[in-house]
Amino acid sequence: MCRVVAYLGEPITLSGLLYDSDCSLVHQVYDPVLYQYLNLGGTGIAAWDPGSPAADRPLIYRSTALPMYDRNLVSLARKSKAGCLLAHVRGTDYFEEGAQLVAEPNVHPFQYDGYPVALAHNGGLHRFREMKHSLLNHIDPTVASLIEGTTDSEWIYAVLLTQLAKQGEPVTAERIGDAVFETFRCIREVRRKHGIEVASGVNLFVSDGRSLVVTRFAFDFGCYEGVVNKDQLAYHSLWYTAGDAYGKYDGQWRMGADGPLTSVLVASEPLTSDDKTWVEVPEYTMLMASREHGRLITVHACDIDV
Amino acid sequence: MRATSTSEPEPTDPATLAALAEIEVFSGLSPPELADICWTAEPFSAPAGAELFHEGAEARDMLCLTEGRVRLEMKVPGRASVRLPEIGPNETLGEIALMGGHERWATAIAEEPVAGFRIARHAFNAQRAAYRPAAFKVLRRLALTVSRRMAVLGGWDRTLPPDSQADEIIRSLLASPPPKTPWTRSEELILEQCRPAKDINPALLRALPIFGEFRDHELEELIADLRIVEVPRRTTIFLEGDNPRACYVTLRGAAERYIDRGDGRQKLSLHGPGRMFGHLALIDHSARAANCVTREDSVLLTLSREEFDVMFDGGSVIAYKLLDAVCALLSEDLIQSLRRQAWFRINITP
Repeated sequence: MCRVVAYLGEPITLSGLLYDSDCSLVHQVYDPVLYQYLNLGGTGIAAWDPGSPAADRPLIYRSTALPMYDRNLVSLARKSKAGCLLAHVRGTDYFEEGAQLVAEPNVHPFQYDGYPVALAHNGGLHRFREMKHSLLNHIDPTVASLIEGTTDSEWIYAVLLTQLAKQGEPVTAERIGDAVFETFRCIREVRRKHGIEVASGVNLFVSDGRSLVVTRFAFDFGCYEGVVNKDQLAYHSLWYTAGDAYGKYDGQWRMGADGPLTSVLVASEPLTSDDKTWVEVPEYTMLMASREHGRLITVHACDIDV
Repeated sequence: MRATSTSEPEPTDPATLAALAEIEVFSGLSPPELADICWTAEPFSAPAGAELFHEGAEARDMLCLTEGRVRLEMKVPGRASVRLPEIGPNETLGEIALMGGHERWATAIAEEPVAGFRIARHAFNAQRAAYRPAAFKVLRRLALTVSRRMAVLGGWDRTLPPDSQADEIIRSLLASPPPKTPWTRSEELILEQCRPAKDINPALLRALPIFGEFRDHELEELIADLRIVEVPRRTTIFLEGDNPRACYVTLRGAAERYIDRGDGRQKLSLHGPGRMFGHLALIDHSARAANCVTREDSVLLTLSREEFDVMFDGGSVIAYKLLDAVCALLSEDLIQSLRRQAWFRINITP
C-alpha cells in the first residue's frame, strides 16, 4: 500500500517534506516503518505556492522514476516552496498474479485540468474490476472521459469530482467533506449491489490548495473471506501533527509549538523516527483543515459512518 | 493442561523472604510461591539522586522498594520532563519489564537513599516458561496495579489544560457531531445471547496473532471454554460505569472504545479481528472506564470473568497464556496513555 503526505501551512521548501527528515516520504519508498512492503509504483506531488503565477493551480509532478534517483525531483524540491502539498508514493502488488500497471497515468495525486481539487489515495477497493462499471452511474460523463489510468483511486477521484460539482460554489473544506461523504455512499451502494463485503481501505487526501480533507476509513473493516490474512488485521495508518511551522528544531524535524496554529501535517506515518509530536488520527474519522482569519488554520474532525 | 505444581524449593534467606512478603504485589503468596520469586530477586541500593533507569533504555527488571522514595519523569517533546507520581516503600516500579514491554517509558531517580530488590526479567520469564503459578499470580497483581494506574490517567484525559497546542490538537480530533446514536443493549443481554463456540474452526483462531502461542490441543481446549455472539453494527456492548462481566476477542468486524467529553466524543481504540477488549474484566472488578460500540457487523468471542477465575485458580496453562496476552495489551495501553499525558504537558500529581 501507498504512503502519503498532506500539508497545509506556512510555505515550506518541498525537500523538507519529501527528502530531509529521517523518515521522509522518499525514505518511505524503501524503508517505511509502519508498512512492510516497498512503494515503487511511482511518485507524485501537487503543490500550491501562494507566491507563484496562477497560484490557485498546483504544480503537478508525476513520475515512475524512483525518487531517490530522480535528479529532477531533487532539484525541484530544493528550489520550490509550497503552502499546500499532496505527495504520494505508490505501493502496488509486485507478484505476477496481482501485478498492477506501473505507469504515469496511475501515479497519484490526480488532478484534472480545470477541476478544483486534487486527490491521493491509500488503500484499495476489493473486487474493483467487477464493480467499476457500476460506478459510472455516479460519474458525470465529461469527467468519465478524462479517466486515463487503471487504478481504483482515479475512479474514486472521478466520483468525488461529480459529487463536488453538486455541492455548489465556492469550494470549501465543508463542501469537499460533504462530497467525500457522498462519494463513500455511492461506493457503498455499488458494493452492496455486487455483494462485496470484504474490507477495503479508503484513506483519501483531498485539497484545493486552500483547505485539506483527509479520511481514515475502510468499508467493512474486519470482514474477510475464509481465514483472515495478516494484511486485513489493521486499519491503514494515519498520523497528524500541527503547530506554527514545520522545521528543524535542535536537530529534530517537528512542528514548532511556540505560536498559534498555522501549519498542519497529515501523513500515513510520522516523518521522523522521534514521533512524540505526532498523534494517530482515529479510525472512521475525517479531518478538515482550512485557513481562516489570514494565516490561522482551523481543524476539526467528523466521524465517518456510511 | 494444568501447570506443574510448585515443587519444594531449596532453602532461601528468611530475611529476603520476609522483606518480599511485605511488598504489596507479593502479599498473599504461599511460602513455596514466595520462594519461587526469591530465586528471581537480587538486592539493590542506591544513594539519593541516583538514576535507577533511563527512559528509552531496555527494560531488564522490575524494582521492588523496601526503603526510600523514587520519582519518575517522562520527556515532553521539546520541553522539560513531566513529573509522575512518586513510588515509595513496598511498592513496585518498572513493572513493564515483566509484562512484555521492552523499553522504559520513564526515567527513575532516587529522591532519597533507596533499597529493595530487582526482579530480573530473564529469571522471571524462566518461571513463566515453566508455568510456575507464583509468576502468574504476580503477573495478575501487576496487571491490576497497571490498570488502576491507567484509570487515574484516564481521568486526566478529560481535563486538558486550555489553550495549549496539545489541547488544540486533541480537541480537533474529537468527533463532531457525535455519530448516530447506537442501538443500546446491556452487556447482560449480549452475554445472554452467546452460544458455545465449539463449532468454530480452529484455523480461524490460529490465524489471529493473539492465539499465536497456543498449541493445537490448547486451542481446542480454549474453544470449549469460549462462547460466541453475533452483534450488529452500531450496537453498544458496554457503557462507562457498567459492572465488567467478560472480555471479548473480535473474530470478525470491529468494536470501538470511546469516552464522551463535554465537547465531543474521544475515540480511544478500535478492536478488529484478533484484538481483545474489555480484558480488564479478568483482573479488576472496577467499573468499565469507557464505552464500547460495534462499528461493523461483528462476531465476538467471549470469556466471562467467572470462567476465567475457575481456569486460573485451577492452574490452567490456557488461563496463563490469556493473562500473558492481557499483560502485553496493558503494556501497550499504558505507554499510549502516558504518551498522551506527557503530550498534554500536565504535572501529574497523586
